[in-house]
Amino acid sequence: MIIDGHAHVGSAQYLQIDMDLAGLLAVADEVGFDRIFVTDLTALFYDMREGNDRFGRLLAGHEDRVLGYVTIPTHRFGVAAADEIRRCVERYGMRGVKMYSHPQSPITETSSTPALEAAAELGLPVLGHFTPDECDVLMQRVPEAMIVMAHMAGQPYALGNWHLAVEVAARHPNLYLDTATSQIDNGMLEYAVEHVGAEKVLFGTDMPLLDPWVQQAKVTGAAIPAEAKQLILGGNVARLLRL
Amino acid sequence: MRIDINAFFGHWPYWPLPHTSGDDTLRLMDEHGIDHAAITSLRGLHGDWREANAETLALATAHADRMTPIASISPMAGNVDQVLRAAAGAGFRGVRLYPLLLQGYSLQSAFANEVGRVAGELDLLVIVPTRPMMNFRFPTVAVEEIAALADRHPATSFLLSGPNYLSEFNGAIEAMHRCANLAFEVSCMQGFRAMERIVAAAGAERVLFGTGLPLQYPACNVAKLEHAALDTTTRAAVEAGNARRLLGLDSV
Repeated sequence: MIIDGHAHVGSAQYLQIDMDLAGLLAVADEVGFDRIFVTDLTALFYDMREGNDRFGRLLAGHEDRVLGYVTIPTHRFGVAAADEIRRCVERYGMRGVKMYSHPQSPITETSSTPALEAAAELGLPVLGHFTPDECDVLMQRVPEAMIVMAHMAGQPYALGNWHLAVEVAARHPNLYLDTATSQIDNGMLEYAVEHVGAEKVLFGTDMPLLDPWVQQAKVTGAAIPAEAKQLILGGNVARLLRL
Repeated sequence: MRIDINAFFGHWPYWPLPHTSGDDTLRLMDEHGIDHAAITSLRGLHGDWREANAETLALATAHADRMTPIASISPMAGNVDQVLRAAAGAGFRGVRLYPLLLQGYSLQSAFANEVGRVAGELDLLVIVPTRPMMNFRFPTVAVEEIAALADRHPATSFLLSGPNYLSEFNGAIEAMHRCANLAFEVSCMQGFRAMERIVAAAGAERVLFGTGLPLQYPACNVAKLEHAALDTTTRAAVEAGNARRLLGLDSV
């Protein structure tokens, strides 16, 4: 089973992307993904509640293919972010939390704690657009949280430092790595598997921003055992979500 | 036939590479269905460009059916005209420039302009990356700077390498509309359906397959090419025909 753990639905000028759920599922069919774990772009870049509600309504009837993230655009909602997580889980059956962050509003501000604690209490993974250093702080503050470091540092704020991402992930049992990134550095997957184990590496594409074929080839083409590829491509998400 | 216009061998000062030797590069090419590659020693990016050129030439000569040598050059080289004529005479088919990001010169410098001028006279392809690989640790050279160099030397063929998505991608398309002598190499371009979009916007004859191996996973760019919705003629041009033309590889 292949599960794309990092996909987006909707429209965002910020990223110059625009794709509805039908389009996303058509791409998933084309590439051969069984399930997609999706976050809503309106919630991510404009109105948290409007976006989560719009996406939540779309989930009905697609439960066999689409897993939903509750999207929290900024931790500065504080307790309201925790309430939003509980609301979307209860009303729409969402299975994870997506949190965005950038250096101008660092996720290490303590206002991120209520959302992380709520996610931990509900057993939801948090796909966090966080740097390795930020993850290190958060995991010490809320060690029971299950954080997936989006892009495994392959994003501008983290300066592409996947070596540090792996080092920090090795330090914290509940910190996982997401493979979705523009970076296709030869050896990055092998290094991650060697140092943190395949059980802590989760496949994602960031589609429709990035090319899903390229992202998939990063895993399938890596010099790691077939069992490791199966875990990364879907086994780990299935285990974390008890699918 | 598949030609990789952007391949290397050697070491990388930022982390250990899993593949470093010329044999490693050949093995990666075999594993990923790459018949021929334009290669450069990574020594030429940071170290001694003369040693880099010597080992690049030696490897390409030993595997002439599989490899075409691309030269490195430095502002420390002195007489650009003399250096490039010697390189062309030895069999190099192109030259790489790594300005501000790695080698501390501007593309507006007398050195860069002399490379642009002489390369045109010698029919050498000038490859200028915005970044050495798609890793966010590297600052980028502006596409506009590269396009301006191409503008000043219309008789020279330039290959723009390194742009990824969003503003870089759009900037590259605008630059290619302005500069008929500017082509595009795809190895760092990771956007959704980007191959189809760059071909539609710039023309099939100006887009070239590349991997950036062994810095980058070759499988990723092979997948990008194989799964792009391109017609047979376009695919052949991107996969090999354009590289063959720009490198003057009549026998490949």
